[in-house]
Amino acid sequence: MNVRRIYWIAHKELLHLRRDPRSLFLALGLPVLLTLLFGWVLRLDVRGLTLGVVDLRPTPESRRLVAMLRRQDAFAKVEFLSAREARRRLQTGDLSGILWFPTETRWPSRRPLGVWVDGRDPLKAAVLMQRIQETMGITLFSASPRRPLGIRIWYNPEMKSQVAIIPGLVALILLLVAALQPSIALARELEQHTFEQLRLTPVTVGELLVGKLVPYFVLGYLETVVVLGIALGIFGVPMRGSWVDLGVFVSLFLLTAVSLGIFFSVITKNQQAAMQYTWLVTFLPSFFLSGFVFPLRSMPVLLRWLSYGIPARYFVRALRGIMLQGAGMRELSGEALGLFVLTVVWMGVAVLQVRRRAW
Amino acid sequence: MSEANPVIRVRGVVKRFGEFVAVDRVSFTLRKGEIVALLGPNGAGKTTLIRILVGLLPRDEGEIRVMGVDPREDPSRVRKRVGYMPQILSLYQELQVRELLEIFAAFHGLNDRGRHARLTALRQRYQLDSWWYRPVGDLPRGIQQRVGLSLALLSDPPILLLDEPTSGVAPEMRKVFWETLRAFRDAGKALLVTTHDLREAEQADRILTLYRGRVVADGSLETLQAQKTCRVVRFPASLWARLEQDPPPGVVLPRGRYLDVVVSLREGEIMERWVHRLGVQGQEVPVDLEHLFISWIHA
Repeated sequence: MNVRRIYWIAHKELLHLRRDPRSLFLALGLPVLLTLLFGWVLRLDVRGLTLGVVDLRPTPESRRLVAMLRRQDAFAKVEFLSAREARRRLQTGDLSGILWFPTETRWPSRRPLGVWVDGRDPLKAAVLMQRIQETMGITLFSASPRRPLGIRIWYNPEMKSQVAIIPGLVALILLLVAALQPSIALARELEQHTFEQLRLTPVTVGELLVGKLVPYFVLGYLETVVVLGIALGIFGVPMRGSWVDLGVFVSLFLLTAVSLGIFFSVITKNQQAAMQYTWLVTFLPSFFLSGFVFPLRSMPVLLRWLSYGIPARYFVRALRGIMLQGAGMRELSGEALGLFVLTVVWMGVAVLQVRRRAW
Repeated sequence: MSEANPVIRVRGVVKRFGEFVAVDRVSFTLRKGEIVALLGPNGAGKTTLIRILVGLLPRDEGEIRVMGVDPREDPSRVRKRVGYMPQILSLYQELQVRELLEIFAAFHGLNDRGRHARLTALRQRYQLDSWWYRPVGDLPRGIQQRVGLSLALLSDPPILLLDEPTSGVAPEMRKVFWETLRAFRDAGKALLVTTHDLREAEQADRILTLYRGRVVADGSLETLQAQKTCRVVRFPASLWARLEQDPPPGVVLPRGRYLDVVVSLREGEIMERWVHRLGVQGQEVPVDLEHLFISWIHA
């Protein structure tokens, strides 16, 4: 071992790092980013539960129960609603559950309290039910005769975690494949300068991008069919909604993913860097900030705001809505609009970057 | 397009990369039925200039017209009229020769019949038969050059811009290559061929010499030689040690058994004094392109 040679090898590596801002970012910026992201997002305690309370004739006891629920950290919001509004908001995923107080004619009553729970996220559903039961145990409601809970679990009555996870997983798998493939393919062209051969022909940038996009879009669709086939056939995920609605969301999502792939290939012009960036900037945020695993309501405000820029946020909600609860375009209009805006923005950014940096 | 009406007109073109001026106020013209060699050492700005002409790089200053079209404003129209073969051939390695040419012919707008006819002609002209179904990545360098030239010729353009087309090609193939270029010229095409090889440049109708981004000479070999910008005095190579002790004016160029001392006309008197001091009579020899090139660079 020659120390001088080791020193010069280390010196050379440091020069590489200094001259290559991407490597420097991966070495210094990434640990900071990941530590913050993991620290904020990776929480096993459930927070941000939202509960709608339907109580047509409030009693002191019902008010006391609601007040105690409101004081708990797990609940972000506990609000009185009309029955119709509560049902609507449970369907859109805006509420984690509904607490129904039956109209009392006499007191004390033995009529059960109704608890409707959104089963699409089994962990949240379990915590919600547990918290209501515990709180009832220490309020006047515990006074004999003990009142039972009439629990009804919606959208995923068996509380199968696979049913909740797989639609989210579909989104991540599609994103990864649909963004990575064009990203690597175009970066390879830029790296090997074959892209220049294309520039020397009368092909326009629009023709090039559409031509590049179509095969990956079709491939993405085939992958969707395969992945959904596995989800439905093997894991027993239900398909309660419309295939056409699903097709619309898949199309928008694939377009966004391919555009993101093109964008990262053009700004990096290098296969390895394009792959790293596509992974880091699409897959990781989608995993953490789409609401697929970690509830968005439990996150700091900054991350919740960031999540609005994540295409998977809308796609995961749409997939769960269409597949598990049979929601249609009306219920999912917010998700459709969000995804449409992101598709237009990312396609526009991709076209501009190709024009500016590669054409 | 008449003789007086050039197919490419370049006026005062400047290209900077930060502080570095790669192309410095370059002006020239290229006419139909003419081969112009763009001669210069590495880093002279040849490739940068040719990439500006074809619209791959934007210029910072100056004016360019390719058959009346500004490549900056309408690169697509320019590329329909110009066949460009880059210095570093970046071909799709995994595609077969046939597939590559067919796809690019379609990009140039050739229909099925046109494509078939063009591909057959190129396949025969460049003897690509035995390589036709082979992936481009498997081809030897010389064959890849032929494929690259075929790509540049797909649309049968009236102008050909070839950047170091014979680099890495065996000497016997270079001869064939230049015969092909002359055939194009005779067919009325205009050719701009970059090279740093003086022997290749001599085969062109006109030599445009670039040095540090500037045009230092432009004209046919005969015209340049007739301009008498330098003198060459030849000495036996055995004088080398004495030349090291008492360096001559100008530049010393080893030529086998001889040493050629190239001096500018301004340095004539200094040269006479140096010969007198040396006490050996040199022999004045005719100026060739290498002497001229050395004198331009030295100047």
